[in-house]
Amino acid sequence: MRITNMMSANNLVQHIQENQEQVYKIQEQIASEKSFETPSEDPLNASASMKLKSALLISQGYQNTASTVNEWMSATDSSMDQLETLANNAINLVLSGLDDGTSSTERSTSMATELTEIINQAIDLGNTKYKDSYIFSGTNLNDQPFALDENGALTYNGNSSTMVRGVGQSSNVVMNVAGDSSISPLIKAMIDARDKLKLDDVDGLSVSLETLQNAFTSLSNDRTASGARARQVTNSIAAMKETDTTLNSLLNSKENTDLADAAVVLKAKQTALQSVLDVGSRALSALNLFDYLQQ
Amino acid sequence: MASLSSGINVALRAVLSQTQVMEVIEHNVANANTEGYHKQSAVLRAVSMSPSTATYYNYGSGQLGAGVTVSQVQRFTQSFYDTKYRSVASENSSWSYQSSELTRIEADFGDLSNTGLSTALDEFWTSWQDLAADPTNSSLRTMVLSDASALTNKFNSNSQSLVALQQDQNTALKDRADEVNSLAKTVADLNYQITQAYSVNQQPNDLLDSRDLALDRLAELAGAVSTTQDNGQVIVTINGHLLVSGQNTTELSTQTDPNDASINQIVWSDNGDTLSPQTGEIGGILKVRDEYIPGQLNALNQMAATLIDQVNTLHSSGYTQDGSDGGNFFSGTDATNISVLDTLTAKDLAISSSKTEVGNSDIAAKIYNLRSQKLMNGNSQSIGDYYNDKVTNLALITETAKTNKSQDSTVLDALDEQRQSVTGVSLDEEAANLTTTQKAYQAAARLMNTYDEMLDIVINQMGLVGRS
Repeated sequence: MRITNMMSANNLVQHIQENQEQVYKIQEQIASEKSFETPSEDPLNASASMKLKSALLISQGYQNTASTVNEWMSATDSSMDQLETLANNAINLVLSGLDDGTSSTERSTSMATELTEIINQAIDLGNTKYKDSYIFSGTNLNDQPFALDENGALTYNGNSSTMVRGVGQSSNVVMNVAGDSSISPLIKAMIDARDKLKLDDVDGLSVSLETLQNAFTSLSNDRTASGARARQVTNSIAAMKETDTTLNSLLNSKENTDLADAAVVLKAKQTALQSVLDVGSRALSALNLFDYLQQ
Repeated sequence: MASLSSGINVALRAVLSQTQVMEVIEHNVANANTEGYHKQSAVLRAVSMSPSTATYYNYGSGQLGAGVTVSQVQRFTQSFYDTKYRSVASENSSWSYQSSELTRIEADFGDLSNTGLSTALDEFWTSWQDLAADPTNSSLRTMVLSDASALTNKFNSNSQSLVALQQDQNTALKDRADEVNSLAKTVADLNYQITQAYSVNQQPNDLLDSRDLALDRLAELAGAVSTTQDNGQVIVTINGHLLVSGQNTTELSTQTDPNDASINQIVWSDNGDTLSPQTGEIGGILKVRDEYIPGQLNALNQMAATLIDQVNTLHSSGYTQDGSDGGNFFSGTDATNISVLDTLTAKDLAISSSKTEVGNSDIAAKIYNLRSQKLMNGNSQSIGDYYNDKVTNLALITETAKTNKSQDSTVLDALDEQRQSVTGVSLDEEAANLTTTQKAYQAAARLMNTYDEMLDIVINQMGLVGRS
């Protein structure tokens, strides 16, 4: 092939350009630690990386929800735990009230007063708030659920709605325990027992004891059920964290530069560029025939 | 030897011819780096003696020659490679244009960064989810509003940048049409001058160079094809429609598309037909403007419309914390004008499905669930997946354009090398030719000198017998 001067010059410039582009590309990959900057550099990995990022964000959202639910359920559990203690105390009090050695005065005065104290504590626990919301009033979060009316009877201001929260793609949990079904019977039974004590109605008191024990069992069952749901939430948080780790490492493998590899390639490309420049400068500045002709 | 005077003529012709050869070499050397220059060479031809002289002086055997002359200045050209080069050049410029414009869309959208539409969409969904978990939390309500604004802003800016890019294509199209017109005129003028030169038996080498350059550029612009006629003129066509014929050109004009006021079209001035070449820069512009941009814009609009429709329907069915009816959440109809309703404040968010239950967040949960519902593409894809698909499609188109561009460039470079190899100037070659020419010139001059001495003998020294 006949080689002209312009051919060698163009050829050289073009090769320098190509080599510089490759060096630039790798430098960029190392500096940004990403193996691609725009989707078109690697469409399939880019699509996968967008999906993974989205999955991570969504998972984070579920974890936020789950941790809110978790805190709410811990608050619920701790209140119910204390309610159980109160219920136990009340039962013991009623049992000693039924004891033959107990005097009528004792029943109608000190014991009734003690039970009234327990009732007030139970009402306070039923009105527990978490982050400004009443946790036992169904979905009427702003309304205090439990109060005593002028006749000393228990009123419930909440509703019996459940609050269902999504803590995973397809996992929903009921996070609240409705006060009217779980707590009202207990407090009502306590009030009933207190009234029987006041009236010194021993027969009535033994019926009250049964109601009280049933209410206690029912509360316990509800607490166990709520605890089981709370464990489900905790497990699901742990599982999501686990999945996140996998997703993150997948994301890294899709879009992160393998630095060691890139460094080696960069070195090789730099050497290539250097050689092109070296050889090129010699070829371009090489003397041509004009320099040798004797004039 | 015939006569002293004819001998001196032979020497003179040699001196003059070598001088002309020297000038051609000079022209080559001067244009060694000129784009589009084709190497020229003076073709030397031996001159035979005129028959009358030959007979008269033919004392010995055989005919004597009368020296040398430059018969023509030849231009080195390879029309096969020209045709091939132009066809690849028109493909290449189309791909190269497409890849640069598509890269702009990708850069504007920034889908891989954390500021892309995809991320904004996910954050929007997540903010509803957070609110669903804790419906009375007023800071989460504010979060929903601000994430929704971020999302609508991203929709707006993405669609605006597409519209702006489409406008740019209109300008680019008009510029290219003007350039085609001016090149067509150049070719027509050159056609005329070239025929003139041929008619007086001259080689219009440098005019041919200029015309070839113009034809290269016309191929790059619109995939124009040329055919050379016997009289040396070229006929240029684009998509089979005559652009240049002899000294006449058909003008291209730019006008607004009667079906769509936002785009321009190029029409032939003679019959009003639309010019839509498949290749060349113009082909690339049309592809980007009429296919890729509307495709992306349409996808954005559909996503925005679905989002507006679905979220508004759900939000309108809900109740605010104080029990009033929820209204629309978004205003607007498509990606250009989607926006969170101006009047909406944190307390107006209607996320409860019951008038009285403040802890109810069913609506927020339902809006969050829109994320995974297959609402797009004939109810086969979720909004997020649909967008991911669109981004990937655009990326694949861009990748194809880039790959084709670099492949065509390689072919183009190889073809250009072939062309250069035939038509380019090699300085070494010229130096060698220069030396041989110089020697020939020196020898001819020396010859003339010899004749001069011989004439001196004949004129000044003969017939002086006996005198001194």
